Amino acid sequence: MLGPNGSGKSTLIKCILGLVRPQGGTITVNGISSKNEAARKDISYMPQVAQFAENINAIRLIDLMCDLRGEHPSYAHLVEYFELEEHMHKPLGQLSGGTRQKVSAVLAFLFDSPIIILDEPTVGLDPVARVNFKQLVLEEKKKGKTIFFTSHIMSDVEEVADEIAFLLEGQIVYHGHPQALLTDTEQPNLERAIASLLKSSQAS
Amino acid sequence: MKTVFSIFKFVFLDNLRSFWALAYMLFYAASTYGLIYFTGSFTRSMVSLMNIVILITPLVSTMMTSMYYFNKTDFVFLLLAQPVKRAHVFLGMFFGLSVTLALSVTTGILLGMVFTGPTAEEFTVLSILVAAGGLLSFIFSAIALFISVAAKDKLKGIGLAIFVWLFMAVIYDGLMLMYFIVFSEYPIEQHAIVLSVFNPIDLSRIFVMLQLDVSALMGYSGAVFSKFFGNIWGVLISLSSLLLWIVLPVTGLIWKANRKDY
Repeated sequence: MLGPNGSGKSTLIKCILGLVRPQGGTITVNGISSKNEAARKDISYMPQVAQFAENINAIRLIDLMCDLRGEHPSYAHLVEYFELEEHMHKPLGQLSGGTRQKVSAVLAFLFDSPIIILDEPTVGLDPVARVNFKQLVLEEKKKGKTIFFTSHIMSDVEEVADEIAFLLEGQIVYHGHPQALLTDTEQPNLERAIASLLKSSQAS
Repeated sequence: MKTVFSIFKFVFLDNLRSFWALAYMLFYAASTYGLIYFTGSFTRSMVSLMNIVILITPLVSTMMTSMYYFNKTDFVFLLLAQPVKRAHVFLGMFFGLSVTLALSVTTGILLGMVFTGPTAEEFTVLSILVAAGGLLSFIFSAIALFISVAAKDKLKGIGLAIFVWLFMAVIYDGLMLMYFIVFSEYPIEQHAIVLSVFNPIDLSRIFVMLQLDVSALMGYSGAVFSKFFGNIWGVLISLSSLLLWIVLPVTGLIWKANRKDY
């Protein structure tokens, strides 16, 4: 899901998660209305760079999420994957923004949910972690999961997205395959394609 | 219920490990010890301590609760994105905050008291203060969380929560006094009781004063309270009104949380 700041990407995610009530229409997640908390059973969510608790370590945060979902999967492989071993016992307040983002990533991939929602997931990650993160997204995709993510980083989008939608002031102005957008707008890369899309929709 | 407990445990530990919980406890320990040690009369030191408890406890509970809520919006978000009921998230949060606050007050006073070596009688009086401090922590934590969730933004939320404290701690008494002076010609004793039930700070003052046996310091509403109900009924009625002051804001909190867009 692409779109300039304030176009409604995060609000859309909030609607899917049942945090914001849509002014019109309904959203169903695998047949269950998003107003019902059971709909969120199928969704894993990774928020934007966030501060959850200052004095608590990541292990306890993960335990809390496991308790809330009533599932206790093992996550040692994820901790290792994101090289978080030495950070797991530190209070979250002492971790850097990027490290906290990695902890959020562990939370997002922890549960075997059919739907994963990521809100600007690669912001704040270093290049190595970013590559690793995208690799993980591709692997989860292969398992047949639906991965919904918002991003401003076009190279990430080109690498992982099968389908893109461009949101402008709450309206979808483009929806389709990224490659198709390049052909439609006659631009060499996605960044320019989006820019020209933005220009043409502002002109009209 | 399991959800409420899990969130409670997390928020409780988060707060317990923060600096303010310890500082707040030590403040009460020092005040209790200092007042008993330096004031000759035990009753007089208790009256001073009561004034600290009924002013500072609501203020600290209000501040800590609204600041915690507004600093942890990301965390609230993450919790609400899980398959759990909103009511459970906020109940867990309320208990996590209020139990830490109440625990700081109660252990603080008890700690200060232990060092003075109280008699059994003094211990009973202090326990009443401990109870009042604990109840006020729950009440103002509930009110502040309700206001914070209902408010549109941080500034309005914290501002309104502090105003409610100021209103109940200071302005309310002034208005009540004016009312009594203006209508002093009329039999308005029952009005005093009704009016004090609407203010948890007044209620807890009466609740403590009924135990302290210093009717001169009870104030108008306190005196009317004890005259009308006698001690036992006075305590029961003030105590149940105080409990109602926890239940009502929490009900409002859940009602508001279920209708809010985040």
